Amino acid sequence: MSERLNSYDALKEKREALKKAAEAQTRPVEIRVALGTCAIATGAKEVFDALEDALRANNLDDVTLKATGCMGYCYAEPTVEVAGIAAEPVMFGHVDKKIARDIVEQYIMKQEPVDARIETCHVNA
Amino acid sequence: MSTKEPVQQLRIALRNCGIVNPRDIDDCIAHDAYLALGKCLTEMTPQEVVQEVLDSGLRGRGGAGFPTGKKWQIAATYDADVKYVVCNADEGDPGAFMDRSILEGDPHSVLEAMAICGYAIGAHEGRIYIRAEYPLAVNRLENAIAQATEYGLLGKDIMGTGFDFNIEITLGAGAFVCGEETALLHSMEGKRGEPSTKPPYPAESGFMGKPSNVNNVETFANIPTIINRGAAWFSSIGTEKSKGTKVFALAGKINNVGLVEVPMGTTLREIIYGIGGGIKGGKKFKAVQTGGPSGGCISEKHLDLPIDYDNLVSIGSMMGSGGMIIMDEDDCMVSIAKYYLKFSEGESCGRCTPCRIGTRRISELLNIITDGRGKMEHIDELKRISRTMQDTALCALGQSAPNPVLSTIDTFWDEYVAHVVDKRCPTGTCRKMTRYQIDPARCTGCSLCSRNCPADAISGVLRSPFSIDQSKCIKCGTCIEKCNFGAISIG
Amino acid sequence: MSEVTLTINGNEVTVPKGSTILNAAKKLDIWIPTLCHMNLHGTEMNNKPASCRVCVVEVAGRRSLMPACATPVADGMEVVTNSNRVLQARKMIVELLISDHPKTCLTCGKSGDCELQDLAIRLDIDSVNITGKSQSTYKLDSTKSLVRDMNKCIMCRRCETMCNDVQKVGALSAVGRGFDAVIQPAFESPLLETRCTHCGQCVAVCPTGALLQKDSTWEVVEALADPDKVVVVQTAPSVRVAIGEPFGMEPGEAATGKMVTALRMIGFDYVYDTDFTADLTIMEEGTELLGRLNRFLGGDQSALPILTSCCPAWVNFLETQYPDLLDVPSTARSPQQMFGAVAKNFFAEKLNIPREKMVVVSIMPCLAKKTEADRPEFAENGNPDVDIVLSTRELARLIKLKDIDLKQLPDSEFDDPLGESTGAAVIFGSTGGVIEAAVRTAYELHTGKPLPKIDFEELRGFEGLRVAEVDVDGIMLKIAIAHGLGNAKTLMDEIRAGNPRGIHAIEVMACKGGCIGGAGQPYHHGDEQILLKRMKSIYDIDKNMPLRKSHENPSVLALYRDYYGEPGSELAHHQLHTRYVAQDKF
Repeated sequence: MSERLNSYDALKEKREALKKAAEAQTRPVEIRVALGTCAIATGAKEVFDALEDALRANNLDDVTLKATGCMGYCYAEPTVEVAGIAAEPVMFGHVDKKIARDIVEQYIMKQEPVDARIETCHVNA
Repeated sequence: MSTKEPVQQLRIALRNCGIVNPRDIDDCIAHDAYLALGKCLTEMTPQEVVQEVLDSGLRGRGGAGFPTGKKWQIAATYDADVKYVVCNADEGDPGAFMDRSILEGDPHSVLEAMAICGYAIGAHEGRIYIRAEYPLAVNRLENAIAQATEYGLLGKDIMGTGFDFNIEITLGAGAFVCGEETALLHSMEGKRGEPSTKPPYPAESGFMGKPSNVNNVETFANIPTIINRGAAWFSSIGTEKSKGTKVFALAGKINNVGLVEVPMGTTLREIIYGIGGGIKGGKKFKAVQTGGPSGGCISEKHLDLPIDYDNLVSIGSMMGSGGMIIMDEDDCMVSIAKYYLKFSEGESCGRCTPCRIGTRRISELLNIITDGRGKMEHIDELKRISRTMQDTALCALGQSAPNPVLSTIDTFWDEYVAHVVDKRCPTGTCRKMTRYQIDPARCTGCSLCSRNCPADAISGVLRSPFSIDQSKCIKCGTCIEKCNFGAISIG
Repeated sequence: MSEVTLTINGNEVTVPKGSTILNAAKKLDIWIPTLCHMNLHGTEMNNKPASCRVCVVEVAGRRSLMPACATPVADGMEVVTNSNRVLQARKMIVELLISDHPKTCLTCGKSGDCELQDLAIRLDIDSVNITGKSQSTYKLDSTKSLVRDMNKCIMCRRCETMCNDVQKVGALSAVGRGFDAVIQPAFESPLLETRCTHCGQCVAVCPTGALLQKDSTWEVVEALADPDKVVVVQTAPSVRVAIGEPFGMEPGEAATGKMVTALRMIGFDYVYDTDFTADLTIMEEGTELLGRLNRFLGGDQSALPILTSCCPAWVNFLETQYPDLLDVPSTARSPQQMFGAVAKNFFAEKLNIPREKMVVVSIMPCLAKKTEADRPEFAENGNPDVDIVLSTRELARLIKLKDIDLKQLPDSEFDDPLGESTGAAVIFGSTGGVIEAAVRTAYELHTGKPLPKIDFEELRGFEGLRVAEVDVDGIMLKIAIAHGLGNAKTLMDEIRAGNPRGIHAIEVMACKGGCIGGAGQPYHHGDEQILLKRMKSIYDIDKNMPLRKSHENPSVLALYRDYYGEPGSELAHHQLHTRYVAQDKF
């Protein structure tokens, strides 16, 4: 990625290209794992690894697994959000290795609910 | 996203936290990173950028709420060979972690905003003062700076516009007072981290004696959105004098502990009972502490007050950086005040008399009261020292350190009276004042408490009521736990 | 706009822009109490941490009270300095300070000169209504010169500013936080282990008894009470223009004759003058200067510059901070130590008593002199050349102990022979004086011609760092003068960097103004006018002396004739010169 963005237009083009690439995926599903200091302290790294393993075991290489910052729902850490299955992203709380597997194998693969879902109450500007 | 809750968070500063991968600049660019910077550099003059921030009504999110645009405007007027944009990431309020979350979750928004500020005020150097206790945030910042520099979004000739902006990180040792901007600048210079009198303001003479503009992390994080969506949009959110949103770190006796971002003007009740999900264990709400060690305790009667900078000050507290600690019926408000004073006492830099000695003396008085040795004169003395500190301390830390004391005296006067006059801590928190008592009517004389007492404080004859020797009792509570008949209580 | 008009307590006043409220109040003769603030105008000493908060005043429109010492005036500002709110705040602040201050005024060496004590009196503090009792408890740290009792420290930071910003010694700085914040050397080590020069300027500016001189007054009383001892006293040049102050005389008013009378009344067996050995110093140092100048003119670039060596704090500074330049200073001992050597050798022989029977007391404007007298090289078989060093302040105390009112005394003369001196000696007391005295002698000895003009005005002044050229019959001598160790440091860095300006001779005095501003002098309490008046007096004395060149001092010439032979002789080298040792300290 050692390209230089030598103009504002270059930045905008890059942004458009990145967005298009994401949308062009066969299954634009994205799993976001909160990996801030606080989340790591509650075991989010293990959850991330478990998600990665489950994706690999099920050959889901078209699902994006992403480490993000804090999602703000500290009481329910580790938290994982999945976008691209339902109309709006769905967040799961108190996720452990088993729930992580369930998220992949039940929620993503079969669109079956997983108990660990938590209510969110935010919109992003 | 759920729409069931009546209260919605609106995330501006946190807009990308939990969404983007902070280590991947491409992902951030896909989520609009550096778009605002490009717009500023190519479509706006520095004056227009300042005007946009002024018009947005954004006020400093670090505590005092000084209008950010005004700060930029002043900083822009000073001419110098070198000027600095400084990001204050020395988050230190107990229970506050919004800046850490932003830096860990969306570092590029802060870097972008610093560059925008640099363009607006004519600075080419940026410094981030961050505490060494935030290693992950430091690591992500370093990574973000490297990636942005590689892309030409920081460093020399940004986006081919000829504008240079360079950012370096300075690690702090985690002293609370270094969140005060003059103390922060002294610390960055390698000097003792203590504040100095203003004027001169940093805008005139800051880092290395050069004009400097210091803003807090959350303040910066708002900037790109203000540029992208316009001042009019931003200022449509919030109250008359406090625009936009504020991030709060909800903590304490609340169900949904977490980081929330709500429009200014949201009520405490909406935050605590709506977003926060109410008090833990169904207990009764007692108070909410805002503004950290500089703030005050707010009681139930103000729960419906719309939160903004001025309203919080009017009820003896302050916005502060956004810590919000909820207390329930089990919390002793004198002990809470003591906790905060102990914090301020430990974090005082020791430079000015009222703070150096005043915080110690107030702490001592609160100890006397919670030890059951208090007199009404001690409360008067607390007030006298507190007022002098508010009136004379050199920096905001010292001036606001007595707030937790004054606000609890004001709001929870009965509890102080109970401690001082009745020698009783209503919540049983102050251990020196508690007395464990055996109700002879309930005691069956089974001796279970006596056999389990680690201090040999309980004695009696089997099958007649036992009694506790108060001079031996260490108030560990084992007897209460063991008693099968509910015969032991704390009085 | 270069002027600002404001009102203070309803009175309008116009002051230059950038002035503080305190400046403006002074113009109106409105007193605002201060404690941490100290500005010695014309020097680098400007301590304005605004930390004590005693000077707070009410400013209309400001939420909190403002420190008058650090708040710049603004047009239309309305200031009230004496509202009840202000009075209560000030009282509380002083009460807080006293609540962490040992209430030992009865036995404190600063009692009577203490600015905190003055403030407590002025603010009508008759009790301290603070319940909390915890106190600072720091170990007492003392050297031969200084005593640090940090329990009495009020964190005004004056000593820190003096030590770091003015003297650039860097021995003292604030450590710790909150209630435990205090001024300490690095690692809270004893001062002796640091690069402290014992200049004592921290003592000179300390408002309380936290920094005091090591007091030796009673040692002198003890020596005087011993019938077996011959007690000889010497008085430094600058003592005579300051000793009157504690007795109600005007600053700078010379009290030479009265002082001699008092010393005799106190019971000293011989009342002598350090001025005598100041002249002797010029003979030795001047001879060395000429020798090095001739070597320099002969092509030896390393022969110059030469540095004066009569200031002991300066010598300590060199030894700790410029160990690579120890061959630059003159090897001549200071006048105090030359006197000690002459007294314990020449004079003891003359009296036909062993040196152990003689007690040499010196009265110095200086605290570093106490440490200097204690240096092992200035003793023989453990018997020091100078036994006891008193500061000017201690002498004042001794005079008062003896129920003597100096002001009322008649004049009398120093004893012979070690009491005779020239005008060149007395100007040792001021910055620039030593080098001027040296030039007067070097000129005449070098050229063999009488000086066309005795007063070298170009070498005088109060500016911290001065460079002047002096025409020694065609040779343009470039002379640099520094007072205040910070200024000396600037010069020494220049010398270390290869002496680009080609300076030939340097005079350094550690204290501002030279010895007249020494740390042993009566406290100036921040009034630099006192220093300037003492300085003027020094030059007035010189002007009125019948002899004004050291090489014309008959008693000095007699001493060479009868004892030392000639300047720089082997005996002179043994008794009147020294060597310097690098001190590895932090």
